[in-house]
Amino acid sequence: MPITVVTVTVCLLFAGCRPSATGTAERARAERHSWESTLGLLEQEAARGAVPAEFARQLRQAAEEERRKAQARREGGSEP
Amino acid sequence: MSKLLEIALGLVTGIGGFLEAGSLATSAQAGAEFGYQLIWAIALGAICIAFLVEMGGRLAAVSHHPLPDAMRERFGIRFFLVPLVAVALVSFLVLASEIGGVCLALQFTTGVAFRWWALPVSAALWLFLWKGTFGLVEQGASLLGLVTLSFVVGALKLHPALHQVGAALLPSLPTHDPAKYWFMAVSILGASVSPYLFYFYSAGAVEDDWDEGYLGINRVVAGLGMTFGGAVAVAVLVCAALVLHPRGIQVDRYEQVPFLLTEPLGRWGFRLFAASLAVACFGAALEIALLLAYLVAQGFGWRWGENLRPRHAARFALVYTAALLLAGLVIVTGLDPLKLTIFSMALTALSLPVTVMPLLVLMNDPDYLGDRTNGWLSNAAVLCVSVVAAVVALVTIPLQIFGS
Amino acid sequence: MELGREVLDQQVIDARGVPMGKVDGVILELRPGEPARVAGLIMGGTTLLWRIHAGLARWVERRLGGEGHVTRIPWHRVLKIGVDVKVDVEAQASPASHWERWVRDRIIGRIPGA
Repeated sequence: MPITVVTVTVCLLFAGCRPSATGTAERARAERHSWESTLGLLEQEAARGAVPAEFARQLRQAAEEERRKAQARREGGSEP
Repeated sequence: MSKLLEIALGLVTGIGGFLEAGSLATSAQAGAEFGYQLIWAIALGAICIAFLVEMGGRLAAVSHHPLPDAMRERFGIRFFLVPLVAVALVSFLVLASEIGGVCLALQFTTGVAFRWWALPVSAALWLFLWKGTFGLVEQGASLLGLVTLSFVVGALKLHPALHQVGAALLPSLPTHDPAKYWFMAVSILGASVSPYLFYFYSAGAVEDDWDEGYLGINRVVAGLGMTFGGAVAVAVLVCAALVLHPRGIQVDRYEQVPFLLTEPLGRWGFRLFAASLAVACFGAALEIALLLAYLVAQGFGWRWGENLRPRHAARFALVYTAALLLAGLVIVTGLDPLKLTIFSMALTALSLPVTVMPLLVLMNDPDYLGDRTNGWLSNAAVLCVSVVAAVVALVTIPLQIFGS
Repeated sequence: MELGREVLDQQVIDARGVPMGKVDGVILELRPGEPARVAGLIMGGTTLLWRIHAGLARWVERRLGGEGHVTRIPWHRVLKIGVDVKVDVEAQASPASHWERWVRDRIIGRIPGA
């Protein structure tokens, strides 16, 4: 019983934590940079034939999906 | 079979069987985000699982009881249900992750989306268990799993500064994003110290009819096997640290991981990556499905045994059949396999005290182990890691969920 | 002998060496003025459920209209208590194998290659 109380309290405390605005912006920037770098590395690897064309297509699609998700998060977060 | 051959086979199992969806994903993420810094977490996890695997083997060899059987006997049905449900739930999620891993490898090579592979892969796994023997599962999957040594080759070709790698074996504090750092450390521990590993090893020791004469082999296999296996996970981290980290690439999708091998090994690296992912996850999935069947069948006293024909252990076969079907359905839903993998690793760490404690109590019970009970070191090591991992998991999981 | 440690929840092996199940309960004979005596073992049905949650067990028994397929093994047929509990009963002939047979005949046995 006491363990349950402590666990729930700890979880509630953290639930009350909101990520800071600057923290979120930094993370979003890091994520954007990460995907830009990924696509850069993809072009490099594709140019030397290290990855098949089909896989390159999948990775580009994944990058696009993540970009759309990040945008939706940004728009969702900017609403008061 | 000569003892030396047994040791060799055991080592192969340790090396080939260590890397799977969880350790691959967590090691890649850690290397990409924090460079070499989290190597200590892999080392700690490998040490801990080596202790636990040795214990599971010793229990089986001395008492001739597999772990789930001994657990119900020792603790009675009410207390047995708690670890039973915990291990079953966590292992089920990991099973789904492994199936996801195989499906993604197939997607990368064929272009057909991973969800459509889920039921065919489940069916293939089922066929292996339906028709196969324990030896086939244990040794076949592990021998094939040696393809994961590609990561060691890749890591060496990338010319890591070995003194830096060695230095990272000691724990260090994060230079940035501490919440993420500790969450990753905990996920790595969950990936290394998976309950299914030592529960399965214990059941395997009984399937292979071990006795006290095997205690020496057990120690060597557990110690060396897990050490070499951990080295493969470190190789994955090193590849990520040298390929992704300098470019600021974080691993948010499995599609970003093949670069770990394409950079050093070119097109062959891509093929070896797909093969490693598929084989490692397939092997792990077989073990987990079997483990779920052992858990239930041994806990309730049913007939069990992978070497038996399914009709002679019908309920046992029903459990692994149902588990594979349900886990396959989880992947059919299109749930992100990487997120599922990371989440189940963290959950594993969180549940460690519950899943590990029964084994620890049994290992100190002379009724089961005679004079082969645990020394203080084994107890201390495992207890420490389990409790610390769980506490850190408790703190970092909510932060990770609410912080993103 | 400590019933809880040495008998309850132990693996039961039948006369042919086949696993039969676990000892889910122990039957005690209460005699006035004398210590209770072990009359036998009980396996299967709702026996286990009673030890886990009495309310749930009562509900299940109401739905089933009884206690399900229970196997009672009289004490004189218990041969040996050691690593397992060996009994002089055939699993195949007892209610203990009911569910195993059901699963075999209705599900597993119907799949090719079983």
